[in-house]
Amino acid sequence: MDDPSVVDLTLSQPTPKTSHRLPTVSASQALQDLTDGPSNFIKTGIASLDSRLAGASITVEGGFERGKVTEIWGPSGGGKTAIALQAAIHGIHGGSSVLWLDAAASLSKDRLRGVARVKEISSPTPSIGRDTTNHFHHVDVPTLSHLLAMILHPRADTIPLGASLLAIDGLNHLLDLDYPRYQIAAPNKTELQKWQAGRRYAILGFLVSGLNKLAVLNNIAVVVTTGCATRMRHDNGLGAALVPGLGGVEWESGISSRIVVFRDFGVRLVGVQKCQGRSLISREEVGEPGHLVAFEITSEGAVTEWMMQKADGSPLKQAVKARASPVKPRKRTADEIADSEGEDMDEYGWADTDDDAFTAEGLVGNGDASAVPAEPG
Amino acid sequence: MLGTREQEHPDAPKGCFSFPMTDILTVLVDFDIRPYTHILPSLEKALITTADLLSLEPLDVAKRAQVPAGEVRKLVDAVLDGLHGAVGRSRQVYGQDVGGPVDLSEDRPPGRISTLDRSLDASLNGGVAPGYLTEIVGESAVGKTQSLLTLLLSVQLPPPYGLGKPALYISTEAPLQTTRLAQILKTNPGLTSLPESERPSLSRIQSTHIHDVEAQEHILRYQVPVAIKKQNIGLLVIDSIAANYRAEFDKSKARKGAESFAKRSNQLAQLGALLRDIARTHNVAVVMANQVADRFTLVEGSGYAHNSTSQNTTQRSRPASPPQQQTSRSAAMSQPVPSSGVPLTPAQLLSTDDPLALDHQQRFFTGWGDDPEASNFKTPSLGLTWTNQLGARIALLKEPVYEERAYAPGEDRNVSGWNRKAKVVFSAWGPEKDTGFEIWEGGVRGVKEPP
Repeated sequence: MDDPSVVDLTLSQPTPKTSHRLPTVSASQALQDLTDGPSNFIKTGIASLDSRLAGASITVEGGFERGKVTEIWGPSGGGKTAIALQAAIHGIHGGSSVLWLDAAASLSKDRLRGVARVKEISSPTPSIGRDTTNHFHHVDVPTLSHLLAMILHPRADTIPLGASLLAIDGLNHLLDLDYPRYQIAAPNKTELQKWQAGRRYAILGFLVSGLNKLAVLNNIAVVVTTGCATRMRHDNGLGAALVPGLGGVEWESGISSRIVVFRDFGVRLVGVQKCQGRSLISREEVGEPGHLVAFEITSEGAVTEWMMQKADGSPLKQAVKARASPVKPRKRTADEIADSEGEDMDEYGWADTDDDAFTAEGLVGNGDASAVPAEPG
Repeated sequence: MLGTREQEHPDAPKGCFSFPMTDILTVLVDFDIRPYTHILPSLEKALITTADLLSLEPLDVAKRAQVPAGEVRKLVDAVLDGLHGAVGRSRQVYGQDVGGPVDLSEDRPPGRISTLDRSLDASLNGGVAPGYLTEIVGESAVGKTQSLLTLLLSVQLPPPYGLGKPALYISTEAPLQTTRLAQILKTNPGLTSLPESERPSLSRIQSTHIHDVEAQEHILRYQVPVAIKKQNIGLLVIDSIAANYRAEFDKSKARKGAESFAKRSNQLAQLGALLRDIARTHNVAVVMANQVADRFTLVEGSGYAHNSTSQNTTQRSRPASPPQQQTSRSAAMSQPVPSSGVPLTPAQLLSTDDPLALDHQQRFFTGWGDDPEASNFKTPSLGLTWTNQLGARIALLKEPVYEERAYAPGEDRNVSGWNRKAKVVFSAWGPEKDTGFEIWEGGVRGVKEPP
């Protein structure tokens, strides 16, 4: 294909060499899955989020929808993995299998075990591992090529039998390594080089198509966490905002739902930005979190909704106003990069303040050198 | 194992990254390329990567590279066999034991490196876990190196306090403080109470020095994995991770700002991947010290410089904006807070109307800024790109304690000591926590935070 802007959505699967099972869903099963409301969704553990993901503003059964792809993005420590993990455990407790792919940090077995044991999310009659159909499958995916092999060229045993959920934790890392997000603008690129520069978005298109195909054929919910990047907002004079780790029209039109997970003072929040295939915010609103739901993470690592009020109506929490850092006007504006999506970038000024930092750190001599450190005078 | 992905293709413009087909050997170490040596050079010339091979139709690849489609198909099949094989070997299935009884004591999860202090270990959910990148970040003299030294000793202890393995220390500035290590060994009760044969020793700490980024790349990519395997290393310490990048990034400042940013960003992502690969493949704890800079709020050069030092104001990082912008944000977010001041919707829990601003969010992933009362924030070096590489960040904060006496007007207060706090900002293996700590002869230990 010569035109990189045209993504071939009709991926043909090569004849599997070792296939003994063709993954199909019978029409009657498909109809039943449609009408069996609750089993269509995998709960997140946050009731309001579940409802909102089902497209409702009132409490309904909901969660991550089977047959669809959901993206969870946000900064480190927000709770993305926690939410995906909880959904996976709900799937397991419901009697189905889960495939968990780690692209960066490998899920700790203690963490998995800790969340699985939490009473609130255990099913009343636990049936984990009694038969072979509800196991937690874990794979560390070292490169994008390994992932593409699994998603675009799945084998009979790639998706476990009776699976309800496929989670990919940290997908942006795999993309960024092979196809860096930030490209250098260069004049006079050849056709070939221009083709190569567009590969990131083309691959993303193939990937999301492949994920959707797997989701439908296996009737699984695909949940992908994607970290974050930054984007300058020159239009409205605001500073940089966090944006999803994966972008581009191909990816964004392929996902059915998108949520952002982040923190504020004393509270954790999820913003629903897209659900049921419809965006809740416009593309221009960079930094707009969407419809908000508050949640918390227990000490065992389980996720629950954060109640706004106690039963008697008294508030559990006041909003917090905080002091800001001193202001330093920017000395220079970053330059535009022609080949990216018009994205500018900036770090949080460390290039400017670098010199100050390193002098302050006393790097010329020893940092923390003394045996029992002498306190600065 | 990841290979050298920064090779510049001879035909590519400077700064363009391309990963020729020979990267297949880094994706699949044992792949036999001999049957395909007749088509690989053409694929390389056409800038076809392994990922392209797996996502494009063989016919399209064949046309682009001007090689027979049948050969491409054979190559794709062989690559897929290799990849599926690797994935299959890496697959772990948890059945019965997920949710089942835990056979080890709840107290200490297995496979952690202790800080040799109970309360510090508790804040880390047992200690530092192998298999991840852990950063210890803070100002100078706050205790970063002290913490690292303690880990160099405790990793040698048998489980559950250590991994029973030796350590490798990579310095980029000052050399390993052997005198201090000896002091900790002699005075820490957790170590002195052990019989001689079980006590950690300096001989089980290898150390080396890296001067610059090129050396760092080579040593980390080729030499460190060999050393780890040969000596069964359990802990890799890099003190510090930012130092070598300063010179590197200074050089590139001469180029256009955004271009050098892109290069830095990609370089850091590659470094992160390389270190994660080491951590995961060899089940090693990779622990790195990082430095900080003072934090300023950045405001667009629109002339509007919001003076944020006034207290008790809502942190508004938004200057007056065009009306339609305001309306659309207001519609989604601000609903009138009832007169009782009780927030009724999650939107009202926000402390700012721009919650996803980088400036605001960095309060929560850097370690500084999430205490509404504090000021004087620091920001870890190497930016958001580096933060994204980490499995855990432990921020060490310090606050001066002023001598309580009568001060003359205009006299600077005398610093009589420091309150230190260790904060787990995020961690792949445990919840966020913080605890006071102090540095003493025997290493570091937790203290009750002063009111």
